Amino acid sequence: MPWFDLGLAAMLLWFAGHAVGARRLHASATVYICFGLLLTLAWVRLDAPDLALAEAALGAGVTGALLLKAIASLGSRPVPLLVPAHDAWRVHEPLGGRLLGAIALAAVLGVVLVGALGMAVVSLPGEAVGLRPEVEARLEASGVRHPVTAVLLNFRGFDTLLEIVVIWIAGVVCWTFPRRRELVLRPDLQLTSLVRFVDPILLVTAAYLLWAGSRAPGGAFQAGVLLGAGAALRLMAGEVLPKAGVIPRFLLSLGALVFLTVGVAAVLTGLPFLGYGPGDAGTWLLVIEVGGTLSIGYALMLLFQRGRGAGA
Amino acid sequence: MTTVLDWASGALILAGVGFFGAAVVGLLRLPGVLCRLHALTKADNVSLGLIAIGLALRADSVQIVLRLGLIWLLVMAAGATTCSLIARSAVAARPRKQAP
Repeated sequence: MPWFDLGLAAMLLWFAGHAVGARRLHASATVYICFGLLLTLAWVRLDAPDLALAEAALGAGVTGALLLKAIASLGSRPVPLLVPAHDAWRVHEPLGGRLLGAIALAAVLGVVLVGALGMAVVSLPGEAVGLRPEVEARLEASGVRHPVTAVLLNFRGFDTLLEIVVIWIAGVVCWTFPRRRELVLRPDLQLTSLVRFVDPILLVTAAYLLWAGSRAPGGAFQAGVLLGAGAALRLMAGEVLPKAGVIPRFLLSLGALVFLTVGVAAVLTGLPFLGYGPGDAGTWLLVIEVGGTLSIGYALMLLFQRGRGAGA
Repeated sequence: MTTVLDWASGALILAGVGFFGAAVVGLLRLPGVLCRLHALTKADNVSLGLIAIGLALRADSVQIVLRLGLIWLLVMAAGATTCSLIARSAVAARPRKQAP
């Protein structure tokens, strides 16, 4: 079995090198998507299915799609990344002094970093227990049955609140971009057919992931990413999504608003900020997750739109 | 009885991996975008289907079999659409030839 892990690690390094050193940006982005899928496998091998879901959806899927869209908007000429060269790895001109010095410095720093990380990993205790016993002891009181969801939404809920606020800020920043003349996508028959086939599946799967997050890997982020991916697919199929108005602003802010309201309401009833009464936690967490899902999906759609079609 | 299922699923999975290998060879060696797309869509349909059926023989419940079928269906739909889109953009990017 270590052969599979070693092979996977070697492939990860190989793909990362190709993603950085490829001659054309388009190839770079495509290799990056493959790298994201391999990283998903690595998370599964490390026994972290929640991270694997997030990596597959966000790292490989959404980031890859955003990269390809950005590259498409740069124009048709391939942009050289490192050195003007005829091949991916070989340079025909003699390496200049500054470039050689930069490569040497990067190599030395890389070796130092890998060495430090290796020493840190090797010096960890053999059987790492972590906080798992404490979490499992309080799992009953947290309102959900999955330890990762309990930690994310209940025990460390403040961090998740800050993350949702960051996503809200990203959405608002997208809206501040000036309207530019962008590629106008005509409604495309093939993509529209794909949307008709895939959209109901995406909606049902998103709802399932949201509901299943309380007892299995899933939750608001994964469900929100699926909604955002469905919206991005519709944008690519040429469908025009609504411009900014009251409802889009409300949808974007819903996650942060709900989270803050629940937290402040707890303070008003005498509990600490983001505290939950006995037995209430499950319901409140579901409410927070629903708001978070809608906001994350909408923010991802805004990232895809790049401000097109939205005004101040 | 279980050993027959094991042998069958193993054979199907190996066949699927073989088709994947053929698709990779086609991707690397065939000339032109359209020929390479031919190879890749075979990988989508046949090899993933063989692997899905092989895994379905080892499944514990009907739910897993249905999930594997849904995954295969979705990958085929996505693969068919992207193949067609790539082909269209490759044809559109060709330099226009003068009519003789």
